[in-house]
Amino acid sequence: MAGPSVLDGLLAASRRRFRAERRILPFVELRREVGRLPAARPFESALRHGDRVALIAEVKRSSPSTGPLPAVGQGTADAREVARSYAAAGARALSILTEPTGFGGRDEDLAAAASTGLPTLRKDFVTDAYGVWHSRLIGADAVLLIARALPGALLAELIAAAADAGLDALVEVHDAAELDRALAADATLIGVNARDLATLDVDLGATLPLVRRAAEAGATVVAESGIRQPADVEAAAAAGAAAVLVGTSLLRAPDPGAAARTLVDHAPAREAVRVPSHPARAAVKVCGQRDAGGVAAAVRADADFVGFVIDPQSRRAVSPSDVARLTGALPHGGGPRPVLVTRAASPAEVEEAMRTAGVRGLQVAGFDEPPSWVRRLDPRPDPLIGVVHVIDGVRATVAKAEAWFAAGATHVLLEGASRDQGGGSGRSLDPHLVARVGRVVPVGIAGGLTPATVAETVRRARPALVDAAGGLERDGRPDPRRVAGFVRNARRDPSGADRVAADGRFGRFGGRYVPETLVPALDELEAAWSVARRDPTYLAELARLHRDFIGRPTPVFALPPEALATRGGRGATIWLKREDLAHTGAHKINNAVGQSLLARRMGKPRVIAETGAGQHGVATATACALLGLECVVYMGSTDIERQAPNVARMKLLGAEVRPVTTGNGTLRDALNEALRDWVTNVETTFYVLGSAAGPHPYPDMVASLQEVVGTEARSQLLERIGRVPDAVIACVGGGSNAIGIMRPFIDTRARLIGVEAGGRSDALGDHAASLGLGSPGVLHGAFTMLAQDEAGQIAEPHSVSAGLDYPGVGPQLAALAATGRLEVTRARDADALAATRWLAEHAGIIPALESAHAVAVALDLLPELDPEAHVLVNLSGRGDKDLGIIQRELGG
Amino acid sequence: MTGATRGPRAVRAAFAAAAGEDRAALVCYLLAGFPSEADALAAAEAALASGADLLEIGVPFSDPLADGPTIAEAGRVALATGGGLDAAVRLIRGLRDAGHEQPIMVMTYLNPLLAGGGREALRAIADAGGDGLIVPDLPAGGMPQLERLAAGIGLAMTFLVAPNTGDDRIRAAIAGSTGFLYVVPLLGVTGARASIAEGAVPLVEHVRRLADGRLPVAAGFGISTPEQAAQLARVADGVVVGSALVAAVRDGGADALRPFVSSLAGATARG
Repeated sequence: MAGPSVLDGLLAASRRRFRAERRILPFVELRREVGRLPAARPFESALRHGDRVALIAEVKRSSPSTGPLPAVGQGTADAREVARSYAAAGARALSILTEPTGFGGRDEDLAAAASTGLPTLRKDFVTDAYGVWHSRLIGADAVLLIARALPGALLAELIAAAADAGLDALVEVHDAAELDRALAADATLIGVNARDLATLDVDLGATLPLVRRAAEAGATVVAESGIRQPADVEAAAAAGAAAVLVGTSLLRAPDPGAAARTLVDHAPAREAVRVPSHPARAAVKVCGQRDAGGVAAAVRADADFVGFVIDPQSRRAVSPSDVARLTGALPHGGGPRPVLVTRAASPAEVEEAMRTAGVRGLQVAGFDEPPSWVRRLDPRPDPLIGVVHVIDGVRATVAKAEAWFAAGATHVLLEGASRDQGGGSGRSLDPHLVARVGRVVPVGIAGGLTPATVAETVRRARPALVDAAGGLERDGRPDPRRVAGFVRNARRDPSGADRVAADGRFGRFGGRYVPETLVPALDELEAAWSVARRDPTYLAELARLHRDFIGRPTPVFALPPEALATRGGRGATIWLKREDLAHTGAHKINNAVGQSLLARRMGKPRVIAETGAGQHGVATATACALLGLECVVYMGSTDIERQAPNVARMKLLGAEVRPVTTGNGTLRDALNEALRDWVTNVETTFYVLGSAAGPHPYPDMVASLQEVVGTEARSQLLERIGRVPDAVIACVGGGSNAIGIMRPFIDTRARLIGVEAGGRSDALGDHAASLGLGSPGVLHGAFTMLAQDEAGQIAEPHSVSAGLDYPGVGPQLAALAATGRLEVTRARDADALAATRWLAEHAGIIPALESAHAVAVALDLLPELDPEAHVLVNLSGRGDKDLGIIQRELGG
Repeated sequence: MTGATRGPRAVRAAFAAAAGEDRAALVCYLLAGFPSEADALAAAEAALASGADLLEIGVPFSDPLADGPTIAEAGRVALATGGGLDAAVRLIRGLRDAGHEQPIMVMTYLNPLLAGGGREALRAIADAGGDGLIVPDLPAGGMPQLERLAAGIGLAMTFLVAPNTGDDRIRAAIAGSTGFLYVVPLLGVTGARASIAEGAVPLVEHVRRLADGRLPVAAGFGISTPEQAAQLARVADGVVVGSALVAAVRDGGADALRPFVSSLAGATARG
């Protein structure tokens, strides 16, 4: 095979391929799409900080040097199968060839492989920034950059582009000159390829000196090519490689998974600094606090840390005894953790200050490397935040951060001031540099941050911690409003999962995919809603109806400790947000009243609604009766049968209930039929959609109307327990009760736990778990997560509770789940029924079967909860409607 | 079949050929896999042999929210035997293998198209010999990537406009469509209606004025009789008949379809 022409040919073909791609997806749109994705998984960090040499296992169908590798079949599913066998064997990461002409690869293979959960490298012949960003779009966590193919400054430019796109760059070198270029470009992850791309010859021994030199320069080194047996791995490890990348020899083995396992099992141990994993979201520290107002604001905003500067020469100094007084107001068992901030103090002074203040948290600044006494402090600081001042290059900064972690730091802050300047100089760091360091080790950023700038800094730097002092002050004093704004803005989600964009999307989910006939109606609705939501008249009427008609605020109720003790509770409190006490017996009325008011305002005399459990139908019928609107409710025939009391209620309220016999006769069928009605009667009809789902603007409008649940709960709990709860739990069908209670907690530290209907089993058709078991697609006007088959046909879901029996989910919950902000779990039918009985017997409350899913998960959490933990559960509805089912399922 | 022109040009050529004969093109909608894949192929061949100028092959979908009871029910039957986008691709290939050259549009909801990433579905349609896409739950401009992908692969795009569509959006639909423009002359879902909607004729005329000859304009939804087809054929470049054909297939198979399509084809003549 001719040498140089192989690489040249592949490069030329790849340039053509990416040019064609650019015509389909221009660079501007590509960057926007990538901006809406959740953060990539750490690739380099997974290799660098493991205590054994890592295996990166490769998937390819052929290669120019080996010819066909039939171990990987032609389908995308075949690539996934091989990737799964690697994952099961203990590979730490995957490498997926997506190049089609020489390697038989496809972009789709990468996403399929990445579904294993392992960090994934896109191996291709990327020669420009478009290719780098495109790699992130198709699901890669790292991109291969071949030094030989990237002359001059291009290599450094693409390393920078990778960091901007949120990717790691694996820079591949083969000889000393290429290694020099990689090191000069400040590459952190370097692959030393034993294969000469010109001749395709492999000589592992000859390249080991390069491995050694790269490792000594502080890079994370991957040995590529020529690894066939454990001895080869040992040789690479001895030279300093953190990982080996192996493809051909695995794929030529009779069983690639078994071959991978052999290498993994014999992987030599290596010395690595243990670092914490990069948090999904930056921790927030409000520093330089010195009065009760600032501390209280930090508690209300639920900051992670409150910093007190104890160095007397600082303008922001407070004495340790003042700190003791100020931290006395901090809530127990949760809330922000206090941190003493000092620079260059002696260990004796630090220990005394910690004892006097009664504070375990410590931030140590003013050292180029961690002083030796840090390890010996008694009490041991927690958190221990180390500050790195002199920022000179990526690899050097990584090394300094690692030195702090090795010394026991829980966090490392990069500060844009020189060591001598003193803290809080307000000098800003380059976010790009922080991003690059942060891909390797979790580092925070301090210096010059303000409420106005912090969201953009977080978006660009993706720090593990943000810290501000001066930016929180007004006229030289800590300002509670700026503290609150800083925490809130620091927790803005860079992918946009926390708020709707102008095109109706949350992250990549949402949008408006409807027949053209509905476009004008949705435009009209969007316009009317955007005016109404800011109109004092509308808001005053809504507030009056909340108070006088619905009975808001609904209470929060702490379940009796003795009852919780029967479930393994050790002191933790479960609070129920009593939406079951709202008029008509569920949260649905909040939305129905809000939308019906809007319908009247828009002059639409006729209202339609879909309903599953009947709660939304009853709520809409109720609102229409009050407001004098004609009301037609679509309800699946199956649901009519299992929710008979609600059908009777709707009729009594003057609504027409139209049975839907298509499909399984459940919620999704009712929604289809309501949309058909709307298409037909769009000019006179207002569609009161009951869930935070469907086409824009419904998901945002319904969530906004349901937010009252979480807003009330947050202030009620602040009053009762002095802080934000540790977790918020809600059931998820379409998800209106979940997003309603969770939205006001997105910018807090509270865990958000969505409980889907697990039904009978995890088999398609046995559940309604679109987030946990589904895949993305378009249903009912929105791009969201769906329970569907591989051909894009929506499954018939199953749940004992009609209100959760829906194969889709609201797009904001899909986006929050994608970022990891929302934890998704499921409760089975039987769990929900058992929780219903338990709550009835122990608390005198019969929950709706929907809400019982959330209760079941909260009760299961109890044994592992801290005694001082507080958990908030949305008891979204009452169970009267379910008595028939409960009697049938539980007997008597 | 060798070297046949496919895609937007083929679609427009079919309309032009009909116009040359002073008639509207007859666009026949049939559902893939209904009542079975073999019967669907027979029905499609019958329609093409009886005067259909273009075919629209519907893809059965679990949640057909723009369809009335006839097509929705037929879709359930087709899905029960396994039909979906694959069935449509097989049907197209069957028609091309049998030597039929008329343009074939695939009418599918977005989700089956997006499953597996979208790209492969479009390639499969084009490789089988399909000419274009009609996506009833995708408004014009709603997914520019899909439009560019279709253009790159050589598939026509057809967007729909309705009586409540403003001129700006009609213009967007014209700009985005590369095959023909689909006017739905009524507010509502697919399905036979007793008569042509009031306003249908002026709507088609208005849309044709905006299209200004750049694109053929076909009218569909609710047309079930030769008389209704004749009414619209006077003003539209094409007439789409769907639910009535699906009902005919349901009730009498390909044999029932032949005379019905012939009578519709006869009704499209303007002279």
